Amino acid sequence: MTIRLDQPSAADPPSTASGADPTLDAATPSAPPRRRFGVFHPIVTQPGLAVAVLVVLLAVAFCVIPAAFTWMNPYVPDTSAILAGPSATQPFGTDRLGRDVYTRTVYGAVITLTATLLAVSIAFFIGTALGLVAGFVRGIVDLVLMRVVDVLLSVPGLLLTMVIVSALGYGTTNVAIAVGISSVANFARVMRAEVLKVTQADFVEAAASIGTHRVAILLRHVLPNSMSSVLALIPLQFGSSILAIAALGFLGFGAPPPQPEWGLLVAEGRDVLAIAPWISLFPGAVILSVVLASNRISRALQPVRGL
Amino acid sequence: MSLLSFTDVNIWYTRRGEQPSQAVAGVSLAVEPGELVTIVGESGSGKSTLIRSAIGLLPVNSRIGGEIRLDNASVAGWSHNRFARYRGTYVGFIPQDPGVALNPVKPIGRQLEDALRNRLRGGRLLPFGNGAHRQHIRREAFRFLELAGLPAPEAIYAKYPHELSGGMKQRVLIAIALSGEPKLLIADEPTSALDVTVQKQILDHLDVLREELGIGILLVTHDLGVALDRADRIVVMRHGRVVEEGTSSEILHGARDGYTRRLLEAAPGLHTGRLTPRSIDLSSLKLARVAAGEHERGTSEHAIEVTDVSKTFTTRRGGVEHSVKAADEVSFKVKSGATHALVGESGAGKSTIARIVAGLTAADSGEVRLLGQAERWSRKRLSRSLQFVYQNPYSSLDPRFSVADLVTEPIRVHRGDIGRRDRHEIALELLDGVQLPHKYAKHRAGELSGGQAQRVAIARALSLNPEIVILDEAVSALDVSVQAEILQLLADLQAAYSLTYLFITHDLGVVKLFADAVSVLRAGSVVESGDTASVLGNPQEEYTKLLIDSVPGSHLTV
Amino acid sequence: MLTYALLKLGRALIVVWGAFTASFILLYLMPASPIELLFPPNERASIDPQAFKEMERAYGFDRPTWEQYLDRLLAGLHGDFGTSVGTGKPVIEAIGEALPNTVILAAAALVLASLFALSVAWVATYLESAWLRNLISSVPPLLVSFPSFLLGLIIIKIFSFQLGWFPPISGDGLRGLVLPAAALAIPVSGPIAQLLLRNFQTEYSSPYVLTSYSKGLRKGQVLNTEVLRNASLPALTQGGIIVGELLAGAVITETIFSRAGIGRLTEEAVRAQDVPVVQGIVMLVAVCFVTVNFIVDVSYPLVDPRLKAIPKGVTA
Repeated sequence: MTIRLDQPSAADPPSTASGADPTLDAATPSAPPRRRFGVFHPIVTQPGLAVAVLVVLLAVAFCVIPAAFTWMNPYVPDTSAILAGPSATQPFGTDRLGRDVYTRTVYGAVITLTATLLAVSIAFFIGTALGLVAGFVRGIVDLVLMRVVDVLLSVPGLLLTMVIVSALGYGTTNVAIAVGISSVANFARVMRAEVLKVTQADFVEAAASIGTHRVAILLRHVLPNSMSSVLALIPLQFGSSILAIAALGFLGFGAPPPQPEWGLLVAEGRDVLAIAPWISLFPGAVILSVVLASNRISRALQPVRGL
Repeated sequence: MSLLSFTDVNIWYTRRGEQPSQAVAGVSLAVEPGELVTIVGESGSGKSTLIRSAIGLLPVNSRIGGEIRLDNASVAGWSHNRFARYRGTYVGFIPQDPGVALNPVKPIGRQLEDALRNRLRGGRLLPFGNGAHRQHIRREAFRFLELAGLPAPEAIYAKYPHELSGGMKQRVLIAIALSGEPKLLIADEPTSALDVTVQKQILDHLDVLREELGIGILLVTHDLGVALDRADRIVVMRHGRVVEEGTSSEILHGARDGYTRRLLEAAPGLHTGRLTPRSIDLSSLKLARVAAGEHERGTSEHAIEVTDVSKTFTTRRGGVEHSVKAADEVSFKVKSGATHALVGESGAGKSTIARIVAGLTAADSGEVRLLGQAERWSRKRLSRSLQFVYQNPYSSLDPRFSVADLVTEPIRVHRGDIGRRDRHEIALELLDGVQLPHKYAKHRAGELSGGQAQRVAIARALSLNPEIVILDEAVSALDVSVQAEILQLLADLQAAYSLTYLFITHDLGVVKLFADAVSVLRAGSVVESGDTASVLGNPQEEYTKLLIDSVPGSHLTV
Repeated sequence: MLTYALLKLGRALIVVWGAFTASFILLYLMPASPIELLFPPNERASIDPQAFKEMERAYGFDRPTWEQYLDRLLAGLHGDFGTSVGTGKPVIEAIGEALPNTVILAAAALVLASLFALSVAWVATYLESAWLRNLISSVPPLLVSFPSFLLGLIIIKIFSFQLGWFPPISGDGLRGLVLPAAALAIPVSGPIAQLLLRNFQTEYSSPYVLTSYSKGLRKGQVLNTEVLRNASLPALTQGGIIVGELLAGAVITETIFSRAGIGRLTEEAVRAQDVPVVQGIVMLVAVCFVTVNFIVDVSYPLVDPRLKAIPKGVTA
């Protein structure tokens, strides 16, 4: 007796069909559904995400070519327009020295976002390396590295940043380094968890069983498969680093005045909050939207957790 | 008056930014009192979706068209709260996997009481009962646990789900389903996650309940054998449509629809003989053979000799050691070029032994001799003679690799001198070998169906031209019709390349179809061993008899 | 069980020791001259070199590093972190004075934040209407992204300046507590709400929920009797982080509302580079974090029966 094989996959529905049925019969392994627009699928189908991407791109553009977005100078006072409210020519109003708040916000992006980029890079490279080593080497190395991460986690980000700043001294670069170090633990933890999970997978065992070298397994199988969660963490950390850097700026530990760092801009309006709220609120709103947007992007990058 | 009727029911799932996908298309169906109706279908047939719509348990992104009637009420699209008074009291539900269908952090007695309290509250407004009421609820709970076939309810009343076996959990779920004294039971693959012997007990019990209580049962299963054994009426579904409907004997002897006939043909439990290999054009794997290097193929009489292998797993938790004997002095021999099946229920230790043979797990004691060689091989040497195929292809294939890279990965590791282009050509030949069209070479495993992905895993296993292939439940996760295709393919490849298979399975039906010899395992020991025809045809041990007796459809004759 | 508790205790002590060592390296070894830091910044230029040398000897900075380290560690074990440079008060006293205020603020904020987060998660899971559900689900991400300092300013602007309900500068008493507690609670509730919302959704989509629906329970009953407990218990494991967030948030809140407490103390100590006080606060926070986590770790098996379980063996 034989079984017909003329149509190898006729009775075998493609995985998209089974993906559409959320009841998923227990007898079938599930596979992720295919997407129509490739990488851009989520952006095309989710307007919220499209807006988020636009906001971040705009902020990056502020950072790269601030002069293209305003013709005013962020530093020169203008005594003729002190504490002027928002208007068509000066949408964010002016501050106590008559400087255009919008212009200062645009130029502030250069300071805040550059610092953020530095912070995230430090956290990403150190954290990912620590997590990768801890998760793959295991044993005593893992134990020691994870206790270091525990110590980093035991002091919350903002406090840790302040402590590091009090050791290194004030200034944007020091703040960025401090924020970076205080976020190392986040990357290390996620990376380690991912590496541990991937190392458990059958395909890693299969690779080892054909005699693949340990380092080759790490580079070809473990690393690429563990990166997706860590990559999703980057925009999230980008957002929280902006908040941390701005918070330190607000407290006066970051860039010194008259620099238009975003947190400092909000702090400058603090004393005149009752009469000129726009000085604080508009830069604050810009911070909020950039952070919100990067968090939204992070959510979209988050790998779908299957079984 | 039907207990439940579907009239021209259509169900779609909507997803943001995508076309709604239709899971059920124009189904009409009714269940009468005292009747057992089975819906049979493979994954993606919409069978679970259909029956869940009758108890309002579809996900929120579903849209229902047509009419679903329960006791004269048209219930399609009702909210949970509106449905609440029909659930439990009119229609009871037995879910798919008992392992996850109970709240893990609540004692099972309380989970049953929740159901009872809801029904017995009657007109009372206070949620708290007095002592007598509590006593009454507890007595009722004991009664239903006994009714569901749990004879000593007080012993398990305060236990948590993880402390019970799968079969006991399913009985608790049956007690919950019965507790509202429903007129209709809906069971969604109630035994798919259970061992065959337990499956038989549970299904027998449902039969008894139907007789005693006169309730109607709508049972969904992927196993045609289960349906043929028990159903008054069978409904076969495919791609959301009903393709055939009739009594068991009508389906068994006079199936009109081609798909139903194919299912019948593929159902392992219904088969009597072994698969006959068909010839494969041998030239197709020539390049692969060259690439792997013509290593000396073993010619010993036995490809695998396992002698007195033992393995104990020890875990520590909370300072207490727990040890489990997964293999206890296991011995068996596999003839070169033959298929030897290791069969057993969950926990029999069959996968452990397979992993020990494959060198993936170290044995505590005993010897494994491959191709007559006594010395231990390095991983590279071992992998040239022995390859392992896992149960789930999606987890055993790197999700980021293309199919072409996946199947030639062993060659890349073993033969660094073979270039990319040559490897691609070898990949295409390997795909020919497992009858997968070339267009899939660029796909990733996640984009393939289960059967296609398993073909890729098999092609990878063959790329180094091994003598031995270990198949660890390699077809268990697949739909029956796909399973049959893969088994046929494996039989063809075995004949063409004189492969020796060590075949791990829980399914005796498949053993009959595929294996030359079989060892029946239970709790780490070999119960009975011999060639398939004599072990299955004339079992000597009670346990083997019980296993054979439990295979759904095994008593039917085509 | 005892070995488990001892293991966790050992881990907790290692973390506290690690925090001490790290802060010692960071605060006493990294700066070029720790003596200089011991003076308020404005007096540094006028330090007499002779006095400087004497100071160095008095503080023991002329001794080998490891000797200094052991001395400070030993003192730290007795709760002695030196004296504040700014005020001359022992660090432990300064912290002791500031702590009660912050504890009250943090406790009030924690209650508010938990209740709010729980309601958001519950309501977002309960609602059937897709757009209402999405609307509520978008609240936690918004809170997480909100700059806490901006939030404080907005609250003052509205409730003090605009409406005049509460004083902008937090005094004593309940009326002074309301605005700071809200300003602290809202950012802290963001991550909690996000976590709870995710847990609620995971638990609500687990198969046992279908079972409880099939018993004839209404949606509210299902959420309260089945989902609520399973979804909120895992949040306890974040307890240490949440307490840390409260203390960190207090820095911003207490500064904005000019309220005395640990947060203000931190801000002033960092501004003055008052090293002993900063180290004292680091140790306070680390000990809080470790204690909360230890309690959660040890008590968690009591509330989740699965963790007490004998692992399911192959024969089970």
